[in-house]
Amino acid sequence: MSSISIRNMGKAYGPATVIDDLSLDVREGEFLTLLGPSGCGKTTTLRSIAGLETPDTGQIRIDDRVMTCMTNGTRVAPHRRGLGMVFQSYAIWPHLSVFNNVAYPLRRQKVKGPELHRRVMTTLESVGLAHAANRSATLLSGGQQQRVALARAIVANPSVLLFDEPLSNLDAQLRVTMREEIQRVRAIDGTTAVYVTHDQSEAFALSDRVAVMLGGRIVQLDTPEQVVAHPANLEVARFLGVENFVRGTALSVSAGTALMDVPDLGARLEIEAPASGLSAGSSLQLAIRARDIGITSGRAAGGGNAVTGRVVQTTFLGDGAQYRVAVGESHLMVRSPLDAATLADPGTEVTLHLPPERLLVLDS
Amino acid sequence: MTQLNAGRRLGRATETKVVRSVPWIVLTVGIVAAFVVPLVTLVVMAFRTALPGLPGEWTMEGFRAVFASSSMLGPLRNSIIFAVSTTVVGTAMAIAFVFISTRTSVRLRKLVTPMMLVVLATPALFFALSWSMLGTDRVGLINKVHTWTTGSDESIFTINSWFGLIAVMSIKVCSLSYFLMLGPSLAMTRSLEEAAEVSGSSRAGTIVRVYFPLLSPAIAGALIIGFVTGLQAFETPQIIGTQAGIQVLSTEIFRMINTFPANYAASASLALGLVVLLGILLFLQIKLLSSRSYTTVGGKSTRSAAWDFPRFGWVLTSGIVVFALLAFVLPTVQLVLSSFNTVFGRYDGFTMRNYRTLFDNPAAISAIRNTIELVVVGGFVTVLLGAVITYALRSRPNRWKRALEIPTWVPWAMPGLVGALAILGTVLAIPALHRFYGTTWTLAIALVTVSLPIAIRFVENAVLQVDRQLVDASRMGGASAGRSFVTILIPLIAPSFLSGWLVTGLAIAGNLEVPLLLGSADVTTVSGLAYTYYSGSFVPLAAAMFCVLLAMIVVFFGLAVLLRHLLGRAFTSRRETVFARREQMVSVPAAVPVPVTPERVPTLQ
Repeated sequence: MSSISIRNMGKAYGPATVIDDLSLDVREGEFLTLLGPSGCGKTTTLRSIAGLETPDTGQIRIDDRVMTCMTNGTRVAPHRRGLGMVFQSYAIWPHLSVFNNVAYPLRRQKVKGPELHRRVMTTLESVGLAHAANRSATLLSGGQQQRVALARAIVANPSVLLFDEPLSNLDAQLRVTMREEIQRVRAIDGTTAVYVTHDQSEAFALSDRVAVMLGGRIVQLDTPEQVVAHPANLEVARFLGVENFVRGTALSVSAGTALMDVPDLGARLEIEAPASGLSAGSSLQLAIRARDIGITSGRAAGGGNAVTGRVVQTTFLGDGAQYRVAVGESHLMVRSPLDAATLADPGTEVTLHLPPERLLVLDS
Repeated sequence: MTQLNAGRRLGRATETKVVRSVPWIVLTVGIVAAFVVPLVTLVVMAFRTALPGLPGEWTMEGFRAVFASSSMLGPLRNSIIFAVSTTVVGTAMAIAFVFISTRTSVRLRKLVTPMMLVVLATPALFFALSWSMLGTDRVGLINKVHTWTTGSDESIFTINSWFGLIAVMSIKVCSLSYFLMLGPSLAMTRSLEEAAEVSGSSRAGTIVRVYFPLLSPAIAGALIIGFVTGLQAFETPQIIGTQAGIQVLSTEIFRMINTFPANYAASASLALGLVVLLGILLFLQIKLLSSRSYTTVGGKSTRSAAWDFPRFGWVLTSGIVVFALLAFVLPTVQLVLSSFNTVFGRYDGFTMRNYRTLFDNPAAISAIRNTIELVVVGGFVTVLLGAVITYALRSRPNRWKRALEIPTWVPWAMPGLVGALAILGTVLAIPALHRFYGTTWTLAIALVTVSLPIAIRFVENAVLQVDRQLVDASRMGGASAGRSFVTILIPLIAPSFLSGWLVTGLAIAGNLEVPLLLGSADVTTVSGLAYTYYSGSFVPLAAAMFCVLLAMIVVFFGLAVLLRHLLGRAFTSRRETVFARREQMVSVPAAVPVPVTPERVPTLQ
């Protein structure tokens, strides 16, 4: 179990900056996910930790060992870093059997004979493939190959486990099964892990902390709950799929709450005041998820964060409905678990409730 | 309305079965005449006492002389040693170059593929002739430079040895093996090697334990094809080997008809033996290479970094430079220099005498003219025939078509020399063809037949990839099969057609066997004439003739590139419509593995 320390890492391909002065600390035994859209630099960061790519600037340390230091030119080769990695395409060697695929890292450490056999079979048992040990690796299904890849990554007790979007080649059902597999395997020995994905649910399900990466930088580093509840800024909120964004000006601030004037909606909304403090007159970016807005028919009775609007478009989603509601000068997206019988038609006047605790305050 | 339509279409609807099968009859007759008849002639020749067409008797003498005596054991042994050595050396070099070109970031690696392409397209005659001169005792450039620099009179290197013979052939085999392994190496995802690195394997270990095993099917294929190529080779053993006293099977076949009195029966018997041997090898090759089970898992590939060799990358780069020196620079320098000398080995003079002699000589002018015609027209016809054969036989196959396909494989097992011999026999045996003996027509037909396999390889992929519905639509629009072929299919495969035309043309220009056997003093090609001068010891004249050939090749290449460029924009926009969806391709893959896949060859595509 080791910690990873990245300092001021940078990489550019020609004019395009892929990683922009990135610094990160991964604690011992922590499961940290690099989450972001394609091209944000998360895979490049992971491969730099592995030693498969060399950044232009910066330093990478694992525990106290300097693995990469671009200022004095230190570059430890990937095969000397003692890591385990699960690749997106599984990277199972077709010319070796399942057993020999998993035994490979141990053989490089000169482990032989009965001990080799014992350790490989134990690892194969832990991923449920002991029965397939002598099968040719080409005869396995995608999910089985991924489990072999996982077994190979953990068999030599690496100090850090690296995952490069391992589930993106699997179908939806398999993805869930494999995710549980990864969780289970990790629970056994709690190795430090760095995981790369663009899938939020994977990131939130597996991680202790999530690093949201956009444009080569880490824009938010927090626990999954915090990231969901308090996205750092507009880009993060957009990436997480938040649908509604409005600007507001603080009218008054009292203990823990603030009253915001939101001209786009023609309303005043109460919010939970941000911890960093707020003064009257300052402008804030607010956001709220479509599923957090309550919708009832009829006019607003007044009071609370209730606004009146008119339904512009109704979409039946099967397990609910999605409404585009015109409020003031803009539109709000609302998602509601109403059943078909009570679907509101376009043109209906509705009341939308925006609970203060669900209104996200984003750094402007 | 219906009346009018009926009138328009009725003509086609009444096409009888006989009329529809005329093209098929023509094709069948053509294939049988081109491939089966020469083979039959060869068999007959092996058992007659005299040349075909002359009165003679049946005899077993020739056959017995070859197979019952031990006189052929020496050449057989030499052939095998030669073929095995050149394929091992050539493939080993090719593996190194494929690795450099696809897995490293060393300098000049981008030159490797174009370099190999040029070597592949260059006729073997170039390497044989130029290296024969380079390595000549005392007067070749290599020994001359040694003399100049050290003052010693000793030759450090003579080409006329096993070493020289194998080395020169290996250059050509290297380029062939390179392209056989390039595609597979490019297709192999790097993640398998990266996984090995992360699992604790050093780079060298990864190359040995992961890269080579995964490339091994391609390596095996290259070794086998290189072996077959070595067995079939003629120019290199004839020019370099015979002078070292090394006779291989192909040079023996030639020797037996080139000496006086000519022993056609023995020559044909040996040729038959070679054909049978190659046929067996071809069969084995198909069996071995069709049962591959390594399918590399694809998936989204992330950008993979090429291997960097900061400390000894220069070694690899210098390997590239050395190969370029040995394959192009030295040979070309030798040829060009000698073409301006009066005496071979005296590099001090500079004269245009050789070129003047050539251009004053009507035989040389006619050879140049013949070569241009044969390359341009003959090459075109060959590629067109290849496209026709592929189109006709390989799509929507039925039993008849599959049966017709078999004779088209015969040239693979019949080396150029054997093919030329068979055609010689055919022309002599059939009285109606006698007036073609010694004319350019015989040369043309022989060259087309012998070059057909190359042409087929180049257009095959393109023809089979064209969506059949594009041609069907043309039929629905009222065009006959022939018209659809010419107006729809040919334009769609135009890039491959051009590449095939160029490469086939180069093969025709560099072919030595056909002019040697079927040509005469007045009717020959530039290669034939160059060889005649060389074996008559008019070395500077031969060099000049060959430089003319080189210049012609450069011109052809330039024209092809220009043509390709001019039509370029039209090609790229067509490419999308041409692609057939997998399910619609009902054609059957050829049994013989493709030596060069045009889509992997970067230049003319």
